[in-house]
Amino acid sequence: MTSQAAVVAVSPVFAWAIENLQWLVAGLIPLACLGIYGFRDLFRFSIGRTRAISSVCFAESIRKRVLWLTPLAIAGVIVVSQFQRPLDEMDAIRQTTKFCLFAAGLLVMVASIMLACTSLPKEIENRVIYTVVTKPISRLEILVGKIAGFAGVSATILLIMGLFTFGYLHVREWAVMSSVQSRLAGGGLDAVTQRTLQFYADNGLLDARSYSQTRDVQALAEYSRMDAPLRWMMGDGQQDAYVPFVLDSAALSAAASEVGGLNMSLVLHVPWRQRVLTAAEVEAQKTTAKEAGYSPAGGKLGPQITGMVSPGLDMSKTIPAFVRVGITDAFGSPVAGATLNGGKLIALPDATGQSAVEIPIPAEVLGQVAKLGRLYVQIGGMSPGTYYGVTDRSAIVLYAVAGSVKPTTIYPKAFEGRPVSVVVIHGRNGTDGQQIRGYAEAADSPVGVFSFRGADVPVATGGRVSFEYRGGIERGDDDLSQMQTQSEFRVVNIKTGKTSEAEKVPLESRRAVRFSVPAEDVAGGDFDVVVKCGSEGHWLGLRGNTLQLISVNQGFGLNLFKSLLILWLLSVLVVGVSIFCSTFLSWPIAVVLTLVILLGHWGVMQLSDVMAPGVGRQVVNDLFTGAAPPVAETINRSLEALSSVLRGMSLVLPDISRFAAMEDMEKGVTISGFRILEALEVLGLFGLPILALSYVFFRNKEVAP
Amino acid sequence: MNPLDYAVQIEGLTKVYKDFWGRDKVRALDDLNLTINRGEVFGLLGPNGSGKSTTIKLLLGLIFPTGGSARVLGHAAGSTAINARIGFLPEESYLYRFLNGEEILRFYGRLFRIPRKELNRRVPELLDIVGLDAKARKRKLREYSKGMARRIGLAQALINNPDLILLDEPTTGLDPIGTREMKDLILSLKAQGKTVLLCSHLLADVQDVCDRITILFRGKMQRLGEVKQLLEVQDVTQVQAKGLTPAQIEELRQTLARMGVGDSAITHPTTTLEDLFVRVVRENTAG
Repeated sequence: MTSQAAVVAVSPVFAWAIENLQWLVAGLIPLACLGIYGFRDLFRFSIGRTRAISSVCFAESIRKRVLWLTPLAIAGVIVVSQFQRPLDEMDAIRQTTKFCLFAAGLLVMVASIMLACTSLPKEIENRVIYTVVTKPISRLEILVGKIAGFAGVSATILLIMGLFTFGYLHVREWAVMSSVQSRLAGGGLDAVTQRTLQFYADNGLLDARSYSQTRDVQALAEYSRMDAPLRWMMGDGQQDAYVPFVLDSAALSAAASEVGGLNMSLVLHVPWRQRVLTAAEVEAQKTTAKEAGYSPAGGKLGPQITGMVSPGLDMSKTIPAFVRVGITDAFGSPVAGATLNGGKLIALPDATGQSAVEIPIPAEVLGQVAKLGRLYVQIGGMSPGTYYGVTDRSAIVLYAVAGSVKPTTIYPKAFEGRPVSVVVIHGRNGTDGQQIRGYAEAADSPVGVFSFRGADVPVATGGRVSFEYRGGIERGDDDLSQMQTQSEFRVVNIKTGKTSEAEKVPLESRRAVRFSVPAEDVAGGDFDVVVKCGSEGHWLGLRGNTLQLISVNQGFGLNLFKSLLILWLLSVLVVGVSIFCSTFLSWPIAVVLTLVILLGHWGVMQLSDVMAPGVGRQVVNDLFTGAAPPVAETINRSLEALSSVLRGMSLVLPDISRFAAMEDMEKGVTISGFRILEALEVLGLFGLPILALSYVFFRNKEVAP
Repeated sequence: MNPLDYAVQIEGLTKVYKDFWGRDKVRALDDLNLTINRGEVFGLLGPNGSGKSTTIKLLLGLIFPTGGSARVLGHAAGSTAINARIGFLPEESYLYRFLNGEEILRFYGRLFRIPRKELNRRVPELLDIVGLDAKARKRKLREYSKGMARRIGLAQALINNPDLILLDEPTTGLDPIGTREMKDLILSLKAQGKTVLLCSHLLADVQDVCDRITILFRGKMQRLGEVKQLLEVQDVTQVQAKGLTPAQIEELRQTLARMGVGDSAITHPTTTLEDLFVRVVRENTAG
């Protein structure tokens, strides 16, 4: 086999190994430990002996009155929940759920750490270990027995707290629901509140819901399917089209490294049309043209631009549409200096888009662009009241390397994970995601399109299915801040092509609102939900999870059980880490190291931006501008080394944020089996190696002080 | 002799305790060579810090040797499997104090995987043997007196009916009756063919029950042999007779003088204080 063939044969294995590196390491550490110390202890492992140790650990913990802490925690929850300031009835229940789970989690973690960290060191210190290790029990059985015993204590604490949570929340729901019923009966409620309370009354406050949501939300000038050959985006800086390209970065970088080695330009084919402009928009249009330095040949600015511009219109008498074009990386971050045409607006004289507009990419950014490999060409429509057509050929990259006869053409190509459309249209960014502007005239309003594909459609109750909308709203005028925002939703079924009747829904910023549509409109799971804002000057923030289809209602008890199960899995990990630390440290130091191991990953993640590569140079530039070069270099290298160590640590430390026990419960969302599997994965990935290492340390430990 | 005939076989066993930096701190045991036969009661004697407890800890795998090796019942010392045939009473009864007498024996029984049925029979039997009454059995160990703790400690050492029993200062904390019972028990274990390794600095106890002893001092073995042989004074002859009258004693003294024995002593033998104490207590108990 030639070396090249060998590389080809090995590379899939290597790729698989890299992909599953964590599991490989998690498996290899125990195997190495067993290989060094023999499999004898594993083969003679006895459940009976392990249970004996675990039952003593359990009995010891109970007789130390650990469970007496649970009434204290319960009392704390009851007291704290009296002081809560909920936004509404549902929020009251969710806050109480949060308190209960937080108390249960805190209690079980503190108890686990204290019990597990002190157990071995204290048994060694008071020599009880003498009479245990001199029996036919292996050190592995002792460790597993202790972990099982303390896991049993955690389970008992969680069981007590779980029963309390279940009972207390039902009592709370009963009390809150009475208030809901009386408010509904009393009348005089605003539309949002009426709709919300009715939903609570119909569906209860405790049951968990499962939501289907989409990552594909795009802002458009008017509705069209995401895979339509021509879509329209809004001008006035409200929306941008992102056209993706995949370049051969190695070849282009090499060419760009030589002066004149690479020439590259963009070719735009962007049709456009204008609706009837308001007076303000006409003025804005004039300003835009002036800023662009545009002077139409034989034409003048003014009333001729009113009315719809269509193909065939005398272009010499009208102001064309303008765009701003830039280049971003694959994450949408602009490449410095790559706003084309020197940052000036670019005129599109041909409203049909058939005539190409070619824009050269400046030589000074060619190297940077060539290196990217994957990039977006960002086209921003800048003219007010103007709709810009977006197709898969809106932009084309042309390049020629030195010596080539004719330029090479690169067409847009979708990146992985964007199956719905090649070119992405994105609304103006706000605090709550991309935004669509509200207009008094519904026909003028841009739309947000949520594309659901293969959604888990629930069995309809009463022939209708429910959606939940929760998004931020920005309002330009303070006087409107207390007003509700008018919106309308339509559902377009992709299979049948049918568009539902508009559902008019009043919205409030970041407050969940539910509405329902006929079940037949979402049949099959492939549908678009189109939202428009009907309040002038209001901006709706749109994210993938802003609109969700409510799929399944699940009993509170089962959801609580799943949450407690995840907490218990976390406590098992905590016990394992605590026992590991206590095999070679005194108990106070073991407690500290346990906390460092458990919180290390989270801590590094909090610092992730600060500790990114290049932090050293950044700190030197910001804080030590006057420092002597050797000093600056020392600071730079020290910080880079620290950053590398921290990032390396985060790779080997467990990510406890993946034990997501509370987040979904707080939101009233059904905890999926995936959450439990995720917790099990972290437990397996980290727990097995830590158990193996504990065994090695404890096996080689002299237990007689 | 076949190595399997030895209960314990120690060759060049050395233990050096080190400080935090790995430097030698104390040489607790220095090149110990020793064999203990099966079925004998062997005494390990020495003052504090002589290496007695270190030897026992090494045999049990509680600590690891710096040099040399030790085999117990034909297996490497510290082997988990061989612990099934060993009973160990530590210097003090280090037990889970939140359990009661019965619970602690059941716990240790489970470590030996003794069936529940067998434990139901064996636990009360052992508690009877070590003299813990029904009331004491239900009390938590933290409420036990030192003597009671020694008794329950002994019971746990015997829970598995071991072939080799290691007793570290077994009579510490016991009253004279308890001491006598302990010694009787050791002799009864010997009679059952078991090997007992006794570690003590109470010389009278050792003398009463041991077949052979070794004396350690500063980690080194100073003497090894049968108790009788080691204690025998070769140039002194002792004659014991019962019922001699004072006249006969006087005649015996004159006879010895005629034989040229100038330094002779003819006295009444005395019993040990322990014997006297036990007799008095037992007479009163019986009364």
